[in-house]
Amino acid sequence: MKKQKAKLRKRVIIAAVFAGILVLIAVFSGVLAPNDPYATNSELIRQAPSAQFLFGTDNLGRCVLSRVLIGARTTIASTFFLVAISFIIGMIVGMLCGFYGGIVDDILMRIADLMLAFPQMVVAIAVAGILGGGLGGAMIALGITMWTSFARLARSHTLSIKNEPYITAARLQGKNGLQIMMTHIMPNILEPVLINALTQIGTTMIGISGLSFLGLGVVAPQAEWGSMISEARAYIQIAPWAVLFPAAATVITIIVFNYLGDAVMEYRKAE
Amino acid sequence: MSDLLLKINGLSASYGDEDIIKDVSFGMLPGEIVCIVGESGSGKSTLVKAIHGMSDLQITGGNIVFEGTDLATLPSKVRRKLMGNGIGLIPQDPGASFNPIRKLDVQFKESLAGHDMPYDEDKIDKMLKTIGLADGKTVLKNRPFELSGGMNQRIAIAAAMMFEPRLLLCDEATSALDVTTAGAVVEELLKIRESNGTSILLVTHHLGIAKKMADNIGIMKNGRLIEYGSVDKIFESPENEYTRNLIRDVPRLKKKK
Repeated sequence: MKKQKAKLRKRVIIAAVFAGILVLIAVFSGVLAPNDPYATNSELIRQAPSAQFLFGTDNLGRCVLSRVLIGARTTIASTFFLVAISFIIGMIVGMLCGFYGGIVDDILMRIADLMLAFPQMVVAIAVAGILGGGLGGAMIALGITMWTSFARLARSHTLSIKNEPYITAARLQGKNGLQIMMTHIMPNILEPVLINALTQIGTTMIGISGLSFLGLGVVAPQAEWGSMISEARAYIQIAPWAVLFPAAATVITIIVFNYLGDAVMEYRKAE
Repeated sequence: MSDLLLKINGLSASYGDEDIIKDVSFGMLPGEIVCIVGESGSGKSTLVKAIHGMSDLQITGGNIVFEGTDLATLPSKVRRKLMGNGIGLIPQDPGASFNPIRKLDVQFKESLAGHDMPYDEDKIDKMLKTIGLADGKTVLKNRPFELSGGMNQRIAIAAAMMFEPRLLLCDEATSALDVTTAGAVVEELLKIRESNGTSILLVTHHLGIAKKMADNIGIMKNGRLIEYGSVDKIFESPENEYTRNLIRDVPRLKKKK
């Protein structure tokens, strides 16, 4: 059992190191990028990977490596931001529903059911379409359904602890609902919901890149992996590297964050 | 009769459709220890909950009079303040009355502040010492999940005692403890009665503990108090068939020849 736990902890550490590296790359992408990711050059279009352009150039002669690096910032930052906002909204809604129950619970949970009744991507495409292009629109579109999973989880955990004697004890101390939620419920349900947030990062990244790929997210010329793939797929046969590298970056990042989420979840389960 | 600390008159209570306790009546004097004994589901814990009042239990009949006041007539704020100082509770799983991930001293402080009482470190330390925790100050720097069940239970008992309640409700307070620790807790409860004159209402399915502690014993079955009397009376000349069976069924290490 101890051996297994040590093994699981090792997995968590490895995944966390990789995820950390990716985040660092995103943060320092401005420094790391060898060329200006937005500088076009008609003489350097669709150059194959070389010493000067490690990942080659795209249809407008822009450095693919620099764009992939800058794109990491857009993709990872927007994903983290979206997951964080959904997490906060979900936590608040879930705790309110679980703690107060009654009509508050009924109304908020029916809204959540309504959101869940449609496939997430379909709702996101529809909402992003209505809101028009742009990263903000794409994030709202995905966020509309995303908070529900956090809310449901937070609610069920709140329900499971709200009748614990220490909550009763807090009531006896004269604490009001808000104080009880902040000091007793939130800290005790934070962990499972946070782990859920970790596992959602991969899916969210697919969502944001997917919407950008469809032209409903990031607008040109901003570098973002989904939109880069979308732009370059028109000439995939001539310059496959322009598709390959942002696609590989997307796949690797999603795998790393999914792996991290799973590893943490399994580790906590073993505990 | 007015010198009774607690008087329960024809109390019935339910969680919904059916009454869990039916027409229960008894009284307690200051400093008296009463044990309520019965099998699982007999309504013992519900009786404690009804007196404590902090659950969604509904009183469907009768009343509970504490120090001459009908508890049901008290405004919720006054009633809340009464719990702790007036009526203390050691719940079935006392360790669970602490938030598992917050430091105990913080929780102690908050508990006391909620009842407008000062946080007297030395007094708490002394209390923990009497309950068998020599290094109270260090222990309280821990979070409950870092301590053993028995330790948490002792601390919870100390926490309930910290308020110096006039009536202490114990809901199977020793059920989660090993025999040695349970014995120590029983000793402590007896000491507390001795020093503070606290009345104790102890709910248990353990007749041995009842015999050791109680002045009076009540036997509950199916929500009714079927027999009530002094320890001697219950053990020497039980009136009810069920009580006789209960006493006969107490497991013994040696069989009588």
